[in-house]
Amino acid sequence: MNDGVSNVLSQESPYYRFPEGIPAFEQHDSFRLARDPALDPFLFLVSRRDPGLRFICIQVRFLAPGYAYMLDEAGAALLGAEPGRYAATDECLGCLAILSFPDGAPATANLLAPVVIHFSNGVGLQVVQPSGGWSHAHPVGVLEDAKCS
Amino acid sequence: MLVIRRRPGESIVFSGGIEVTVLELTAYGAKLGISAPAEVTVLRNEIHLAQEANRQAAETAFGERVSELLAGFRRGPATNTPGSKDFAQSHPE
Repeated sequence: MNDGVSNVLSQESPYYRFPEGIPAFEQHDSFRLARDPALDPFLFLVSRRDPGLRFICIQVRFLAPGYAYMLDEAGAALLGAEPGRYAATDECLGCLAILSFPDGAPATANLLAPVVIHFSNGVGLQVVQPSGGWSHAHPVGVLEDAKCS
Repeated sequence: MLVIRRRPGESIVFSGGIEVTVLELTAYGAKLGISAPAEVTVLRNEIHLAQEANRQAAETAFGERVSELLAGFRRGPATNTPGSKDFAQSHPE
């Protein structure tokens, strides 16, 4: 593998428990967040069950400063948190977006379903929001252009 | 897109033994009842989108596009924001 990210996989980092896995990968119930300083601000969500399954993530607050999401009662119960509206900058609940790199198109961030991690208990959940708000394929490049203008 | 007006108690039928019935209409939305064979997967659209996005993300988490995006971020102001280290290493299982 020569894509500039392989070295991060060997780093030690804590595992988080995902009671429901994540959509399409429900059997993967434990992930760690790996980081390589050379690759900041990206983080790598790596499955314990299959380290070959990984997702490139970024804190949502870096992409969309005003972002907020709703945690319903079921999701809150899984996370061990209170239901309600949370900002991406919340200090207790970390909020990550999974990135995709489709061929021939800009990289996208899944802001429809942020990965939320409860820092105090080590539980994670991909919190799927109702349709009609943020996109599951938010073009990252467009957002960066807007920030730089 | 085919548009059909239905009232509560009325339904539409798809081939394959799938029937969708309007159960209730409120200010908060429509409550639907869905009857389908066990082998048919029924998902809220946002769950379906999240599944597809995750599959694509897992398939594309390798390659030089990552480095390209990284270079783009580093040209922007967000990259200099600290916090990734703390985020990744805050809380052991």
